[in-house]
Amino acid sequence: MSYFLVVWACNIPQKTIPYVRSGEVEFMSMQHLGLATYRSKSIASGSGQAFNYAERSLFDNLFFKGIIGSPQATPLIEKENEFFKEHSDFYDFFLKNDFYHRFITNYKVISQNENQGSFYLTEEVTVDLNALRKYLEDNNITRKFGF
Amino acid sequence: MKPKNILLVLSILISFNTFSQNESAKNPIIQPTIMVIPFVPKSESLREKLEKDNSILVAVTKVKEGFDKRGVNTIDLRAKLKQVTNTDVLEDEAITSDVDEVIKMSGADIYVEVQTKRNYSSSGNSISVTLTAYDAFSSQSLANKVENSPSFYTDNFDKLTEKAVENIIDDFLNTIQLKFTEILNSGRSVVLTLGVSPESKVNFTQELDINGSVLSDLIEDWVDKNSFKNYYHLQGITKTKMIFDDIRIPIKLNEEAYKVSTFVKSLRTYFQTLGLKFDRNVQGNNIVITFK
Repeated sequence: MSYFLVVWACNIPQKTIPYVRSGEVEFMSMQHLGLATYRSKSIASGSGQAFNYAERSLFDNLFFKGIIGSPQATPLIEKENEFFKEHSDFYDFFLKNDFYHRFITNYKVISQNENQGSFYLTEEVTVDLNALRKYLEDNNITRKFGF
Repeated sequence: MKPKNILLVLSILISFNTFSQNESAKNPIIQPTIMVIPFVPKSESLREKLEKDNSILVAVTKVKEGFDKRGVNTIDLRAKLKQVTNTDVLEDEAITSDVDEVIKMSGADIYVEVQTKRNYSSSGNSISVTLTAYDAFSSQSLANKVENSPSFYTDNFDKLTEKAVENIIDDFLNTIQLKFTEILNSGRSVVLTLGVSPESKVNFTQELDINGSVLSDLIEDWVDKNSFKNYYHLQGITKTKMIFDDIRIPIKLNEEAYKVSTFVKSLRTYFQTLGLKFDRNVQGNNIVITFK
């Protein structure tokens, strides 16, 4: 009987925690040459997913909200609705396929813990804002400086 | 990586490249000319300020560096001051120190005024840096930022200035860019003042066509049709004067820069069809038409 219980328990699908954009992104410091360090939090079903969610949340905030007190206090992309109408492929490519990693110059785990199948992570990430801005301009996602 | 995935990534990259080339051809960017200048009180000279106050020189240089990083060229103030003193128009040193004259002669669309203030205290020295961007055309303020450096037991105000400017320059440029978007979407404001010379027989209440339309109505209809998104405000009309204190004109038309002179040219063409002669004076965003 206990054998069948174990088999049954192993086959219960684990809950999947979907990605939800949060504003829990905090500016930490600015270094020379446009490198900005942020702290981002996430909750996910597993460790790998938690890193992905934390970094995705950071870039979502940079793109669509801006991060108060940081060199990018205004959103990089001014009109979110229009962006998703015209560039949803770009978003999928950039964020869902991990292309954004090329703009992260450093990262470290501040805290992580697991509780009842949920993985909580606080990660500190350094982003090359100048390179990111230039990439968005070169791909006509954002306008170059000017009219 | 499997060959199928490589092909997928490649095809996405190629489509982005083609997309961005097509989009940049469709939406060319009009980049304004920018000059960074120190704030000077009336009693001081621009050249003296730059040459004697090293913190200001550092601040101006760091701000210019910020623009350089965004791919924006700036007009060099010292080179412009040299050019201004070499012209026959200027007669003495006092004129070269006049900020308004230098900005006019520079042809800059936007100027950024930089101000620094040293703070001395027993708990350490710091510096306050104030940046203000103005539209040279309308004198409208586009962005303002103030930053106080941290306090240190140091006399190296140049380093403190560097740090203070680095902390705010990106956000300052982002704020200017937001203002550009606002101007792109709502148009640039010009003021149009129409009057009649004393010898002229023209007046704004005269009927000019067989339908009995008076001159002021015809002008207002024209402004309505030719203003950006039909936005204008008519301040008032008398027999001899008509003032539009806000007419919006586009920044771009058919992907090309639209200047005040283009607007004035269109207006001239219209007045010619009405058989009207006039003198015009354009200063920045102020257009003055005087019917002869």
